[in-house]
Amino acid sequence: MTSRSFKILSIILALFILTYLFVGQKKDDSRSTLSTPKNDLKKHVIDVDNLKIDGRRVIGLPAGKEKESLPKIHLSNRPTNEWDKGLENAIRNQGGDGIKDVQLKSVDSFIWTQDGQSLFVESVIVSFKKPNNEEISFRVLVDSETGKILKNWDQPIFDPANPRDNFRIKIDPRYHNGSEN
Amino acid sequence: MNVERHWMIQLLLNRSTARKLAHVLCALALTLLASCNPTELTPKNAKSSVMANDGSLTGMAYVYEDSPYVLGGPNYGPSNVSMSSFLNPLAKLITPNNSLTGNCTMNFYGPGVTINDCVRSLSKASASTQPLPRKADGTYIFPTDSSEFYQVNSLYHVNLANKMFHDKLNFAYQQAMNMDVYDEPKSIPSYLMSSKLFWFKAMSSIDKKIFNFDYLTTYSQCDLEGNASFNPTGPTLCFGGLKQHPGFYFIQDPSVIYHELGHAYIALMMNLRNGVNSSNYHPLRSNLGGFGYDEAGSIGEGVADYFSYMMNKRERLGEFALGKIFKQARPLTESDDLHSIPGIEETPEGRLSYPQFLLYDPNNPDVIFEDVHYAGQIVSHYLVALTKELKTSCSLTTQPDGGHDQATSLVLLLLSETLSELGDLNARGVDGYNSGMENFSIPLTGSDYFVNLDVTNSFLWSQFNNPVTFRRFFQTFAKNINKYISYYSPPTREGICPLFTKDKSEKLLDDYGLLLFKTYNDNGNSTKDRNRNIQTAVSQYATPTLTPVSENNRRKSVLVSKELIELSTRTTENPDRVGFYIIDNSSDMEAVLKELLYKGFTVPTSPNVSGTIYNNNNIRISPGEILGLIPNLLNKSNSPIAGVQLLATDWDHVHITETQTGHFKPCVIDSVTTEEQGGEKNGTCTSTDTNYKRLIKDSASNTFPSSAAAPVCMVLSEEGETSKWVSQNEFRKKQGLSLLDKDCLGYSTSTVSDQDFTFNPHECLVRFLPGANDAFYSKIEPQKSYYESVIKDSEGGSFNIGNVLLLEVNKWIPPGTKFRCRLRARFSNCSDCYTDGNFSNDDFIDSDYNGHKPFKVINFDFEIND
Repeated sequence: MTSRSFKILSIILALFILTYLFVGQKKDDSRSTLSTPKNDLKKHVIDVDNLKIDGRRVIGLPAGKEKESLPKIHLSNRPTNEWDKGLENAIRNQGGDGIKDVQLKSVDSFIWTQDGQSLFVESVIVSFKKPNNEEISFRVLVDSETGKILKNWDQPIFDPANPRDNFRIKIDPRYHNGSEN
Repeated sequence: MNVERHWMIQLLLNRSTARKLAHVLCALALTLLASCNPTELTPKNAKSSVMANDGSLTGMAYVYEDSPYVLGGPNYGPSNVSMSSFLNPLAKLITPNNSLTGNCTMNFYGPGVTINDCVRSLSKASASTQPLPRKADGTYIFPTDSSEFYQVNSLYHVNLANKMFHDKLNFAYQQAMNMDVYDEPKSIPSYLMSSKLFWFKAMSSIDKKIFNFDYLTTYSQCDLEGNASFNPTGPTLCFGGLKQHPGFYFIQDPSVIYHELGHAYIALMMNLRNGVNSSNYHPLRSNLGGFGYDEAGSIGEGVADYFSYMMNKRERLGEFALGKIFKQARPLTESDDLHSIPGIEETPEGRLSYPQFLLYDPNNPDVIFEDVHYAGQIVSHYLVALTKELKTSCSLTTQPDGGHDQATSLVLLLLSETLSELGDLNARGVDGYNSGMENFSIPLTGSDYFVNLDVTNSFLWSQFNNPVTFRRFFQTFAKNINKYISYYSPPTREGICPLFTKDKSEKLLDDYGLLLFKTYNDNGNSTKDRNRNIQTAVSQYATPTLTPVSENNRRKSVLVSKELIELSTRTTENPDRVGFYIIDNSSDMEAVLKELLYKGFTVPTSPNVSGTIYNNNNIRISPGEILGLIPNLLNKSNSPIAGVQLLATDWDHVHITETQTGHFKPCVIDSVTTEEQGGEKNGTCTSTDTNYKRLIKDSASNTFPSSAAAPVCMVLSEEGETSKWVSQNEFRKKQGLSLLDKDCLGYSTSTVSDQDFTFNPHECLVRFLPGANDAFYSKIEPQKSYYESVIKDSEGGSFNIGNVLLLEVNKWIPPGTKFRCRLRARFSNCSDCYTDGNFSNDDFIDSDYNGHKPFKVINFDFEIND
């Protein structure tokens, strides 16, 4: 190899290393609003008296043993700025193209302990408009990292003038015309 | 010049004339200006015209007290509706506030607590978000039939109803607090004064974590076609109209306003126990009602109907808004003329009883229809009948109002005690004891729970595993009748009205077919340990005892064994009978998913491995599909069964053999899955886990629990000559499917996340979708299937969306793979679904609903189609 080729190769290699480091850093930065490993409680602010971690209430600790259990919990996720995208995707996937003006409002952030794990979660009010512009809203509990829906509640209650106009599902005629195997 | 002088003289002479003329002109101008000002309009039938507010009309307006049907007769409308003929000639106070807002006050024992601006009245969400200010003249008098007029009237009725509700809730609160004197537990919490959960406002003015806004918004002319609604998220009330009849609005019928408010009051009462202060409240909230048909929703509709009766004393609802065009007004007693079927009357034999009248529409009695509003009529009729009985038994009829106010207060006491217990997501049900006078009781702490299993799983329990049904609601309601009304044990304690005896109460319940329980379940068992009760947790409480129902009072309420329900099969006698219906037409399924979302129910799917694009409409179960499944249950008994619930939620039915993988053997719980097929009789199968935990990996230890609730579907693993039922996780690993976690159903990661610890690998291949993993069926007639009972001859021959379970199938499953899904069924008038024969018919404790004992296991077997 000539010295010129060697220099060119070295420059390319250096550029490659710099690029890798830069992109990797950016990726790390976008991983979390908390730049800490998921389950390293030492890096979190723990308030045993008020049963909080990083200012978030911890719900679901063993009854009667909340204060002794709190320092031992294992956090299974970490909050990101991505949760709302995951949630919106799920809503649009179910609702199709017709829904519009999807709005997500996080009204509470806490840590939910269930099934042996503790998750950062968001309590979110979801609002959107149907194709006929009727507004719908309800609540979901989502994973603060992925936006995965964990719970769903506070749905609207409708009182149509004619209940017989409600959505119905017709049976496939093959079931009762003898052609179903 | 003389002329000038003459002119001046003339001017002088005319000055007084000119002055008079000026006065006349001014008066005329003022009159003209006044007549141009729309704020000075008065009702046609007003006895005096309003030229200016002298202070006596401040904050007031002219309102309609009832609907055009009631005030103008059945022939009025629906075209060209004008409320001007129906206005009360006396102006009414709308609000003392400077804008169209209301205040909510509960007195408790002293000056009380007031939440200012607890209600706002607006026109619609797309219009102004600020409530109308009081006019310059201090009144709220706007032109009749204008948008402002309806906002004013809306607030008038909402304020009226709120005052009534809070006055009665105050009465209930005081009666409940009295129980402390007798060392009796109660549900309405004494700390209600500091939690302020008697309204939607959260704990403090700056704490808006629970609600979108800290006031109830009413939209008097919202963009809702042929409908009215309550949304607990707002919270909001929405009153729509009809495009084909401009000028016709639901808000013109106050009985509908009171019904919608009834839903709001139910939401309040169910959550009275779900917060203590601004840092201690449960993040979820309870309510009655799901999608489609279920019994919680039916009870909600019936109670909401009753609030209309409570407000206006009338025994019919919605004559104008529901009845005028759609002929769907609802009666509230058997004496109403809307009941045209002979035999329906206010007698023990003539009551609108359960389950006979569950599908009954009085406006179309010949065509059955499954809907919560029709089923709710049984509840509303019972509550009105109870009110009348209380008026008589408690000697209230001599009062000027016939005892209506006091009798309905007693019913609200019963409703609030019942709903606050059933909706308790903190899972305590009762409070601890405090010797201080100001707060008689304090929130219970420690490891004992007395309702809805525990604080983490209370939502799952109260909505799915042990939901509010006719049976559960009326058992708790009856318990409270016995405790507060009928109790008679002098000199220790007497109820409010001991002459309404336990026997009378049971007879009335039985007249309505609602005596669905054998005991009052009032022995205060903890949810996880039958050896612990409220007294072991709080020693000051009196020793609880189990009160049995007098079986002599059970004549109409027939109970049936769960062994008599099963999946239909085709027989020679019934060649048309189908075991289950599948919906796998892609456009139908897209419509189902959309409709669920439009009702506020999310059904998260796995777009990377399934979707309706794979639906092939062959009414078989094929890889990749998202399909609807309706198991067609059969009633083999000679009596109708009702309130049939089919659960596809995870439950404790397996014995875990390896905690590294979570592999399991199914428990042998019936003759269908045997030991030879890989079943297990011993190990953890000999008892039901008292703690509910899903079979997912613990992120700390990276292992699965040794005992857990598992998904319902197992796979048949054929290894040589043996075939065994195994977990889906075991199958995908052993059968060489090479499916990574990310290729499984329910797996979700963000773009930066590497693992989803909420994912369950034991439903990698097939799963019932969360949000649609339980189904409800109103009634099944004797010796018939559900289809034959409700669908076959009904209008349209179609299913209710609540009848459907949604199944998701991984696209990577090889055709020919066989599955068995162990669903659990029970129903409300079941003799052995709720009581443990080993414990003198005491109810099962909550943790028992994690297992199979209270249920009939329905095995749904299928093979993946090519």
